[in-house]
Amino acid sequence: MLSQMMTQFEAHPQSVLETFRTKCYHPVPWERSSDFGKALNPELLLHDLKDLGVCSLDVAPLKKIPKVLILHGVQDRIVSVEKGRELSAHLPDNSQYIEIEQAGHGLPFTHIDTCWSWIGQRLGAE
Amino acid sequence: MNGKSEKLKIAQSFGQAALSYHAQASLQQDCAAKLLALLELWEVPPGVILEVGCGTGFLTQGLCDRFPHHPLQVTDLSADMLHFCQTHLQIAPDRAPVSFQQMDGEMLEQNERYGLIVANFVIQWFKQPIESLLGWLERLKPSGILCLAFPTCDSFPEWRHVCESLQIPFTANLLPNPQPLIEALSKVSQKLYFQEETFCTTHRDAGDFFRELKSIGAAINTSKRKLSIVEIKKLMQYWDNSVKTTGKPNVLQVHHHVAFLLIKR
Repeated sequence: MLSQMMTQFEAHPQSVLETFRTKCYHPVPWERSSDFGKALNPELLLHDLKDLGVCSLDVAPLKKIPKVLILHGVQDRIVSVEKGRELSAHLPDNSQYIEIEQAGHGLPFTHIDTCWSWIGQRLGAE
Repeated sequence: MNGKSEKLKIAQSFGQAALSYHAQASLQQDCAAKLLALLELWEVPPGVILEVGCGTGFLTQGLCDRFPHHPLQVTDLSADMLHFCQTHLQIAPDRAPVSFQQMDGEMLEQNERYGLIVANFVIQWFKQPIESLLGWLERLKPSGILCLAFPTCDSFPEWRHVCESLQIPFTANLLPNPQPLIEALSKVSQKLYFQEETFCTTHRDAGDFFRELKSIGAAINTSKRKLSIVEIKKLMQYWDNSVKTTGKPNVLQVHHHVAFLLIKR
């Protein structure tokens, strides 16, 4: 699917980006703003798309952070919730993994109040 | 109703319903299976496993099979539920000991330190859930795990909506809000996993929904609010009528919001 996206991106970058944004916002509808795509950087976006294919996360640096909070939208279409659960099993003991229902990959944009509320809780905990 | 007599009523209600609970409490059964799946995420340290509120044993059998080297202490507030669980549990001859004890989960008596404390659909009946859970955390061994499933305050949105529309009190029991609970438990724990899920049950009509709650022993009203007979009739009639307009008559949907928590001490 990723290679298909990259091929399509060469010909129709804006259309691919729109589809990706829609998937990121799912289940919340994404609305295109009037200036969407005006400052498009196709090279950087294509580079990021390629990176998605070789995505990996080293949890070792997380052990040095005093408090780790991971928020994951249950309906995430970019990184599945199963992946999030898998990650949670490898997290160090200083971590909290919180799933948020009715939220997707773009939850910092679509569920900002919920995110802040969990962040406040995490920062408040001694 | 004071705390003691309320607990007695809860125990009696569930005890009398043990058989139908075992046959009909599908939500509790599904959540027990999910808890067992969650327990695969983290390693349970050696030590005794305490199950609070075993009910008829939906979770107990899984614990018994999954952790053959951990002694298992099975408890319930209701002697009848405990007896049902004990008589139906299949225990492998070579597994670590399994003991049964009638006990109120809010009043742990022994000084045992546990490797795992687990409770499926129990803490919503507690008078002081946060205080009780903090007490449970103290009873865990270092790196011991607390594993919970409970219905949250976001359950029964349809019932709540009908009450709001009719301007009558919403008399469902007060269910726990996970966020303050997590905030309190975070302060004394190392690691936390929280998952929430909405389950949908279907019923012929509102009367059927309330009868099912009663048949599994879960209809004890601890909310201190009661509806008059007239209000109950109004509620059921309005709810049934609102279902008829959906084009799916005789399918009343009720949503249950359930929190799943894993906490490492």
